[in-house]
Amino acid sequence: MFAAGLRVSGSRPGPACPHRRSSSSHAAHRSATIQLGRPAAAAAQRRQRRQLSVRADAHQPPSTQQLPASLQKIVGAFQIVPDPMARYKQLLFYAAKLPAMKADDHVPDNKVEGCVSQVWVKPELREDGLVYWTADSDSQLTKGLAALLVLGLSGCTPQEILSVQPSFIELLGLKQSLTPSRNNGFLNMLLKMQRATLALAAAQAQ
Amino acid sequence: MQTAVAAPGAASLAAIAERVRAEVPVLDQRVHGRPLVYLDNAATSQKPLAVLEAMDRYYREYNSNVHRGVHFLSARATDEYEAARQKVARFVGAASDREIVFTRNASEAINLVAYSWGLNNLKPGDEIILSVAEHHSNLVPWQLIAQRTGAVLKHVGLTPQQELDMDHLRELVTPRTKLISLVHVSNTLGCVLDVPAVVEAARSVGARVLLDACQSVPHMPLDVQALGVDWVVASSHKMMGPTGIGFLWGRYDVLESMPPWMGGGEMIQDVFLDHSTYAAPPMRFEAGTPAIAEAIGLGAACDYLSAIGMDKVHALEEDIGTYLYEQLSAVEGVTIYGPRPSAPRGRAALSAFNVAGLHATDVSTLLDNAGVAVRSGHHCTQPLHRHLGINASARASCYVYTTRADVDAFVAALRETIEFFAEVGA
Repeated sequence: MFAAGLRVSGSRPGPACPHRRSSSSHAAHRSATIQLGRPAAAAAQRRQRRQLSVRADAHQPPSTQQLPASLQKIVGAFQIVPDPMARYKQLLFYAAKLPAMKADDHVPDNKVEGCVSQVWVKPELREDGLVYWTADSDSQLTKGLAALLVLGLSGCTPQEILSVQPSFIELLGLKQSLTPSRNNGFLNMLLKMQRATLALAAAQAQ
Repeated sequence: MQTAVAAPGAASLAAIAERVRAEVPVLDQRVHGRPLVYLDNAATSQKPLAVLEAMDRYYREYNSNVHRGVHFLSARATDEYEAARQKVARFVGAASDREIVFTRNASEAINLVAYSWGLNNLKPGDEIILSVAEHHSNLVPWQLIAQRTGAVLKHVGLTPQQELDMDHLRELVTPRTKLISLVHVSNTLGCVLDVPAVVEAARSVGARVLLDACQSVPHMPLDVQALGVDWVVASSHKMMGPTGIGFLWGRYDVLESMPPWMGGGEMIQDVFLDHSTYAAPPMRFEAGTPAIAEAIGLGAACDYLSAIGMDKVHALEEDIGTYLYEQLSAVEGVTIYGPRPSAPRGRAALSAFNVAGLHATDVSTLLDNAGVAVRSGHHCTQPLHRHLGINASARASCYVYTTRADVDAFVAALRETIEFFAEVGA
């Protein structure tokens, strides 16, 4: 599966962006991106690809990660729940909170390959330079995981999204496996989201 | 619940299950803080000490390559490896051990027939009959061969009771039919094939018959000669043996007519720089150093099951399988696929099912949390799931060590799971 193919060992990624950037730094970032010439854009793309490939190294200790504030908040909400069944319950509440995805968006392009259940995720890169997500699944628990990612990664910069390590899921205490596998719904979902982000960022850089 | 007639038998069968259970170390553990309830036997079975020790002994005492050296260890390894072949031959009632080809697994055994016999015998317009209920390993090799040869694939459908429809099979058979390759016991429906009807239909047009016996060889007495088919494939790991080995049984004259598929050491008679002559079956089809420890482990598994008696294994599974079916079907909202246990040929001790309104993966995730191991997904039968109009199902499957306590724990955890989702309003 593609997850295994992406796995690399060695270099660690650069520091993640832990907090919301100020609007002025967003503007600066956007204009810098726009000013990139083609060769520079290609170099940026290569750099981002390299970073994405490191994303799949799921075994970075979760505690060393700096997550986007929105995702950190969700992780915190899980960490105060004591037992596994209550955490599953919480996951289902997140599933219920997930805004409905348009029927037109349930298309192969948005589908996460390699899930036992059906999952769709769709990004939108808005004028503010931030990415916003919608998602859906026919499995409630998978929908809950999708909701965590949608709520935790909407309103983030592409760079923040690309910096998220799959290992953060361990902090939720859901016994979610991080082994790259054809049926690892969570891992394949996050990788799909990071690929889509990379594609959007690359398109913008053109 | 128990009838006066069934009770004494059931009690002695349960005693067998308890005894076997005590000899399978992996079953004795807690998962997520609860005692393990292992009901994923159709995917793979657990191994008794006898199998683990046989493999351990090989590596500790006489690890050596087979069919090569004259030294002591090599001779012993060769003896044990070939003894394993004899055990498998006896286990399935083969006319001779020369009819047993060791493969990596059942998939490789089907591929062997497809690439050796199929590529050399199928012509454009020839027909291969499969079914909608086949495992992917009995679909994909034939798709590849059909693309290469121009042969046509046809698929037997299901009866309303969700068994393979033999009337449909008879309609599909024509003088162009060259092969009928079907699943003996379905890993999803649990239905048992009407083999005599298949053989009769095949013989009427001179077609060959391959039987995918992965879910039957481990669970019932099988006599390949009495079945009247040409090839039978099965895998070791579903019958208490190790992974990495399976076998193909073929009638000797059929195997003899087949050219080699993979080339290498072991399978040759004489090698020259530009050509070679090949060994007789089964060696013709075993290129390279085989999985020696695994073959010996499979032989030990045959011994282990034979010591219990395959008639007893089958009786035990009929009993526990029926109990599973009854207990599971009493749970509100549950749909079980396949025929009822009272069907003329019965059904395997497995139940693939769905709970109304819940995804199979959600069900099995929470069951896992309660220490219950079941499979969820499409069980490598995607076309069958599509045929049934579902994306996935959960499956609980028993083996010789499954007890009523296992089934009770599973059904209790399932009820809790359903209540959990109902409470949350999912």
